[in-house]
Amino acid sequence: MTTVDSIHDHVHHGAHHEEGSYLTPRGGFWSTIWSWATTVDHKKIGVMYLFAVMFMFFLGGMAAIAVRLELLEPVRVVQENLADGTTVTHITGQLFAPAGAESIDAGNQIYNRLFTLHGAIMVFMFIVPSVPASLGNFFLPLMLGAKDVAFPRVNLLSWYIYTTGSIFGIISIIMGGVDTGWTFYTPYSTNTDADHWRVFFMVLAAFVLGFSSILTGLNFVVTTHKLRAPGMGWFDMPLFVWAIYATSIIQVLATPVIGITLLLLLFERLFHIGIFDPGLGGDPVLFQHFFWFYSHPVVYVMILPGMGIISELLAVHARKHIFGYRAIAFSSLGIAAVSFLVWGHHMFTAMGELSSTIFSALTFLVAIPTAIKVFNWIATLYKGSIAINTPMLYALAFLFLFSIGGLTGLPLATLSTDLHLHDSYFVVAHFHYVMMGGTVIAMIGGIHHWWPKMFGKMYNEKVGILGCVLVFVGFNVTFFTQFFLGTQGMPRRYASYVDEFHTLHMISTFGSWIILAGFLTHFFNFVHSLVAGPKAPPNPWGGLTLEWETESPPIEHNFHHEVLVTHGPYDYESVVPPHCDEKDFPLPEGAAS
Amino acid sequence: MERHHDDRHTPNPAFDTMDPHGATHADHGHHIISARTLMAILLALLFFTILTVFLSRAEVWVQNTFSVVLPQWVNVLGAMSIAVVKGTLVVAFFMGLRYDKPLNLFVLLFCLAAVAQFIIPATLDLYTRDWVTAEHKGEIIKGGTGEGLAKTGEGHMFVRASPRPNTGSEPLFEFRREQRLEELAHEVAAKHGRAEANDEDKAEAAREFWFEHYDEELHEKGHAIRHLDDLEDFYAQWRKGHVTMAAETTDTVAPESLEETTASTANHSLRRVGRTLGLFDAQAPSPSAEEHATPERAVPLSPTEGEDH
Amino acid sequence: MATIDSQRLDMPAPPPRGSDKHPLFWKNRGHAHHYRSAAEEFDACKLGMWLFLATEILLFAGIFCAYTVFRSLYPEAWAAGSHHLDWRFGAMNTIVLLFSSWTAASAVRSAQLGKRGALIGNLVITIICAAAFIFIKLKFEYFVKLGLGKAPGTWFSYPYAEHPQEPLWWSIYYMGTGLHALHVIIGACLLGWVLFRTVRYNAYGPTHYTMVETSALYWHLVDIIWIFLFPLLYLIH
Repeated sequence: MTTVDSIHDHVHHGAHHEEGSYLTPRGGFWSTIWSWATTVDHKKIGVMYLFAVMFMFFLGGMAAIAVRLELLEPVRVVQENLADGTTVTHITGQLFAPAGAESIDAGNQIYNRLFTLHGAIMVFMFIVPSVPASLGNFFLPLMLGAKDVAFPRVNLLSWYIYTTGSIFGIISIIMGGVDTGWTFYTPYSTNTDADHWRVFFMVLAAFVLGFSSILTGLNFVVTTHKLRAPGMGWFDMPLFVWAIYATSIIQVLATPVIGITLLLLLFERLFHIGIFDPGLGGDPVLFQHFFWFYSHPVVYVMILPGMGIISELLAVHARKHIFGYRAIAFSSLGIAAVSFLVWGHHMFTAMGELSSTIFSALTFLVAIPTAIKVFNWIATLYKGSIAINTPMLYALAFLFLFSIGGLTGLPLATLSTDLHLHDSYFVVAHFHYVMMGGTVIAMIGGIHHWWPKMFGKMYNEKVGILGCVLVFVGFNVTFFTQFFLGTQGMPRRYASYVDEFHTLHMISTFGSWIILAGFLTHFFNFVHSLVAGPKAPPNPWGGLTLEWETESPPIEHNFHHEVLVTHGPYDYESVVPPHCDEKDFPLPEGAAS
Repeated sequence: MERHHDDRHTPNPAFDTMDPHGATHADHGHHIISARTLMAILLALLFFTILTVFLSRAEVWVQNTFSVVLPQWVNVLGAMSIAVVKGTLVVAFFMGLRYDKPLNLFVLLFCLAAVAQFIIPATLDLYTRDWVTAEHKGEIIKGGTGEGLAKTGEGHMFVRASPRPNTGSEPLFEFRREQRLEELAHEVAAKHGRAEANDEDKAEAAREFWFEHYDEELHEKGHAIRHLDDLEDFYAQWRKGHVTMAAETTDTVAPESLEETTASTANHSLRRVGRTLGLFDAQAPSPSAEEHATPERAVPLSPTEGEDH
Repeated sequence: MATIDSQRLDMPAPPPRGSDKHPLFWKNRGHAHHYRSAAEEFDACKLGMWLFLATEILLFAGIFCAYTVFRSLYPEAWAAGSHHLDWRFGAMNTIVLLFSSWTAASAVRSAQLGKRGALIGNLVITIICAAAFIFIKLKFEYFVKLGLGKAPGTWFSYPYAEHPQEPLWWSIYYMGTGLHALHVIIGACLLGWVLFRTVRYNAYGPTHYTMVETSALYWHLVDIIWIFLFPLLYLIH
């Protein structure tokens, strides 16, 4: 059954049929570079974003490895009585202290900078743009059957704004890094490191990156509304598109607030205008309100696209119509709506009693749409013909890790338990299970799933599975221990700890090395695939969404013809996937083909 | 298993199969608002501008003339509802949302909902911060202390373009007042050919200080006051009170008598500062509101006063 | 890019600017290749602009939120601060902006009707109003007040203040009106760009006036923000 009708061939000038893929070099080396730097093609911009966010992931990951290394041993001040009767004092367990440091302060300062760098890079430069700007940019127009996003030049502008912001961030790192924590809480961010411009540059970086995020979100909302292919109604859109759409709404509505927050912060820092300074009548807690009004919704900017990827992965690799399509679609919008109501749970101990109670009650609302999604995914797997490959394993890992992350959020939303658990490693473990066990896992799964489409090469499945297993095991070793550390009272953001925590911290650090090994496995697998991988067919997984109808990699204008949508994105029971043989993908008994 | 196939085969109605690129769609068919409507809206907006200013002035006039204080919500509600009406007119007609696709209206409404979701809980929290259980009463205060800017530890060279006054535990505004008084005292002393200002100089400087304020206020908003005589009377009294006080403080003065001297009744009809008694308020103003306007205010006026304590 | 350059060499010399043959002349404007019709492109641009305006409103929401919070905490200081502002200059600027909003709306109408002269006239008046707004703001308000020491934060040096939070009031005042003035300047630049293209290329007419419409929308937003800032800062006391 064909899904692409070759209507109106007269409006296409024949050239479309001969054009090469979007990766085909145009001219010499420098012309190719120039053509990428000035491209308005959403696919090229998506690929550029993919490489940029992966580079940032590498930087942030290195900071994380360094943080874990520092925590391998507790910092101890040891006095040694020498044979000649003199006493020598050593400081042990400080990996990054400058040579000859007299006190443990110098090492602690470096630790503060490391975890801030890890947080700031991972949040602002990696995870917020990660899925929407790379995979979203590449696949949203393809899945809608559009030739490009609504505003291609704005898309390129957003990429350059992202680059500019990242450069400011890197300048700050080169100048020595920031020690405020990624949240830039006042008065840390207005008073510490005050003789340096690096806090200024890091805040400026986050401010600039916000505009990139806004422009991407705005572009995707308009694209989804205006550029759906003929025949594609709202409920014929793939769930990845729904997730990106909900994400984009949050980006558009929440990001401007971080803009004004960071602008006020910069003014407070440079000109001491007093809005966040109690000495002039201002209020540091107001900063937290401002900050979390953006940064809580942005948590869903991080996780919603991951959820969208999982919907695609499960349906394609289990060859099942997704269970509860509308429930999943609307729960994405539900999460977007609820995300604006719950920011106060980040500041329970800073807020008044009345508002803490209200925000605690509202926070539990988040569990409803999230649970709807998880139940529907599990129901999708039921009686599916599950292919055990890397994307599917990542989807299963997501279900497992994200559920743990979500469920451990409940004690943090409860005021009485939060009093004990706040600012402890329990919180650290919780949000790593959601952010890394959710978004990063989904993204790596998504990259494997769409790798053949993006680059036209297959990756090695066995190596992929090996990497997936390493990441999954390493992740649990690293972060599950941190739940125990947290409940036993280990506070976050400390460079040292009492000896009782030594074993758990050691296990956690070993786990971080396993994760690193897993990611390196994937990295070499991808490099090998690009260099020597076998050519990918247009539809290696038998997917039904529109991106599988075009070539791998897609041609410059995405489709050879105007797309006319004639089936839903998950109609595996009734449709033979495009470019696929019916004997490879048999339809169930009695299905009309 | 052919689900919904009949409706899926129908292409999007916006997609004209004979003209996929819209070459013949010369006219957008968008609504062109008539010049008459635009002019009417402009006039309505100007009318509402005059109305809101008039209401605000009328309120001041009522309070001055009849020596009453209207509750704050009258003022806020009046001004903000007129602003909402004006905003709606601009959005509906100048921005054409009345004739536009409903989607654009939804964008605006979602945006306003987000604004409300932002402002209401944030204000609610900071306003109710001191609503705590009985055992924590008094531990938590609402808002910043405004208690001054002490210099942080040595070695912290702030990269700040702004000045960095070290006001100790004093609020900035009192610090600035003292600075000005000292400046004036130096000027007066220099006039009399003295290197250091003595008590007489300081008293004269305090007088000079209020003369300055009087001139500036008169210059800046004499126009805004309906009864110019009232104003002059007010400042004459205010100045007299302060001058008397400044002269008196060379002797030891009990705080109670200070309060008597400085508490001018004249400004009750002019400056409505703080939660003074409202038209519909039953009780007298709380002592805490009074505190604000009395002795502490006056203390820095006399630089010598501090030495007596 | 090399191939494109060589194509360019083969192309005939472009028609002179402002002529009927120039690709920017409004009758010659088609639509971008990924849209199905010009109407669809116009709708998409307008939706995009409305989303952008939503982000602008939320940007100002930060200022409004800070205002509301501090007003609820320090009503006395806010009343005192408001007394230092002169409603006459606020009202004058309101009228200037409302008038310019009317000319901006009329500019769209002129473009829709293809009246080039009226379009240019309306745009010029709007830009003059923007300049007048900034002039009044600087000359009669900012400079005078800063001269008296009514400045934000630690710059505050006005000796007759009566409330500890008055420096904060001035911070909010300068942040709010300053950010708004910045938007006035950006809006004027956008309208100036439209004016330039109208004069140079005759780029806008009944079938192509997207840029006029979106710039005017931006300008109206600037107006709306001021409609709310004016009573909040000058009239509520």
